[in-house]
Amino acid sequence: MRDWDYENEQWTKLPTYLKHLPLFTRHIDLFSVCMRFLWSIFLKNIAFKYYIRLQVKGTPFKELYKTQPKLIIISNHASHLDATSIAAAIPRRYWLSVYIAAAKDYFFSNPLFTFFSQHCLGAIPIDRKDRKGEAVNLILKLLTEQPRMWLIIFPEGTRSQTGKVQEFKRGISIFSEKTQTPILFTYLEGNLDLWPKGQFFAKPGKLVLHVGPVHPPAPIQQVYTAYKSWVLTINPDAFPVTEETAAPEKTEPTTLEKVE
Amino acid sequence: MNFNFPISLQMPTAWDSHIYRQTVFIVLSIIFVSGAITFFFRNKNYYFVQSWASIKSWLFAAPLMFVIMGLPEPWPLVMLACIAIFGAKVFFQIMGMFHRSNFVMICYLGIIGLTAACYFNRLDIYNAMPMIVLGFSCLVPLVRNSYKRMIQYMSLTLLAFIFLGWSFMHLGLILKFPNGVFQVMYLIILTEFCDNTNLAVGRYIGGWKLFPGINPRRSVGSTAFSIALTLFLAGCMRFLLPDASEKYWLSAGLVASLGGFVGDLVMTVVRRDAGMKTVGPFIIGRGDFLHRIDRLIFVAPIYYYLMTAIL
Repeated sequence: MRDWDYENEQWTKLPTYLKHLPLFTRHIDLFSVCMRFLWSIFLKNIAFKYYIRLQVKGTPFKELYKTQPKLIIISNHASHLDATSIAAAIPRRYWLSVYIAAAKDYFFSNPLFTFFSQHCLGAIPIDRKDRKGEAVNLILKLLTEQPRMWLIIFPEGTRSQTGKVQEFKRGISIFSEKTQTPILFTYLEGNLDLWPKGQFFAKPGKLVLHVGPVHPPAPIQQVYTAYKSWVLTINPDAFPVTEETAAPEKTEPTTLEKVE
Repeated sequence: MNFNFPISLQMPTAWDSHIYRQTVFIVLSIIFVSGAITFFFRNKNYYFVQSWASIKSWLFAAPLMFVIMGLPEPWPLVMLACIAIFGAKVFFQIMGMFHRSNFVMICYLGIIGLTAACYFNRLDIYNAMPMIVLGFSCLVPLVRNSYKRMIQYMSLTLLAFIFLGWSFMHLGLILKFPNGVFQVMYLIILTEFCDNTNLAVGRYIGGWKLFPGINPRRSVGSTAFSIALTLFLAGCMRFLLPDASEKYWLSAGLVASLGGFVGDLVMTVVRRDAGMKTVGPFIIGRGDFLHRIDRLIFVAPIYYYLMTAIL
């Protein structure tokens, strides 16, 4: 008799903070689905309707979903509202395809946050001090193997304190070029006023999400230039005045380069 | 002037009983006191680490359990069904077929069917449920038009249902006994106590290993000592039984300790064959959720039929 093959790698080979990601199976836990549904009701029908009035301008996500099974959604990053506001703008029925790249040291820092990040956000933990490339390989694997995936990621890497768009890190280009995933430009207007860095919680108010063009996979400099030229048509003050070119800073070789 | 509040708050049924309140107080006091003692030694060695993890879990789980068990029907039964479903989920994860949703859903629905059978006192339907679950499982390959690994999936679905559904949900049938809620609490406390005692004394009482190929930590000495302590506790808590005579608490204590021991070993066999020790911590404690309920899988049906015979 042949041995049975137990396909339990999802539960044996992954640490707790990664078990919610369909890395070995294409399955999303029913509990997570229910939690995501409840969270979507709170987010879309209450929080981003009455407390924060979210307005979406540009290409409808419904159209994008038909033509783009895989996307890397990028945006400016100035508050903790950013990821959830983009998620709130996406129709509920697409939510199981939406993943958010989130800082592991914040979103997975304690059991409560971990639970929320896993089951409500579907967050992919990004270790900002990672030197082994775990997070990069994780995203590359998901983008390669998942039939549908929309990844929300902030190329600046951290929240801007001034609200001005900072230079992009190389990560999104690596993900995009290696997996041939197009990049969707979005721009959030009013996020800094509602929840600036250092403030305990968001203030009520108006937030506008501009959904822009889909950019093909390209080097980071090209992506940054294209993003800048698009954002300047919406908000001429979105970038620091002192900035002369769109070239990203030359930094020490990071994990992302090591992966290359 | 009479003012009637639109919502009347009623004291849940079991809370009316001073015995229930007293039991809750005693058990929670024991957990808190042992927690307070263990806290200072929590990093001393492996055994204290394990004990502290277990106590932390029960600090959360025990009050919740007592609150729900104290609610009127059908809430204790609903709680047992949720526990059974969650246990089945962990079982499917261990067996690597949690993503085979058809089989998983059939098992869950079967457990819900058992709950309904318990609620309406339909023992005939209760005992027919395994066949119904097997029947539906056999239809999955036809619906999916696939034969690959289907014997494995059908077998494991039936095993999950028998263990976590049919066997475990006998606790729901025990709820129907006189003082049923008390008896279920009695069994849960005894089995958990026996498990923790065996773990605690295992370090100090060695001797001949009972099943070294399956679980090298269980020795004859530690098992005998934990059984003796469990019987002592069963005697001390016999006021929870409808009849406090010797044959009741002795048989209940023996079933809780020996049946629990067998249940624990059988689930260890399952885990070891699947090459998996644990799925994830239960709340913040030791082992996963199935570790906490595996002893009851054997205890519940044996206790039910034993009590049916001698009551």
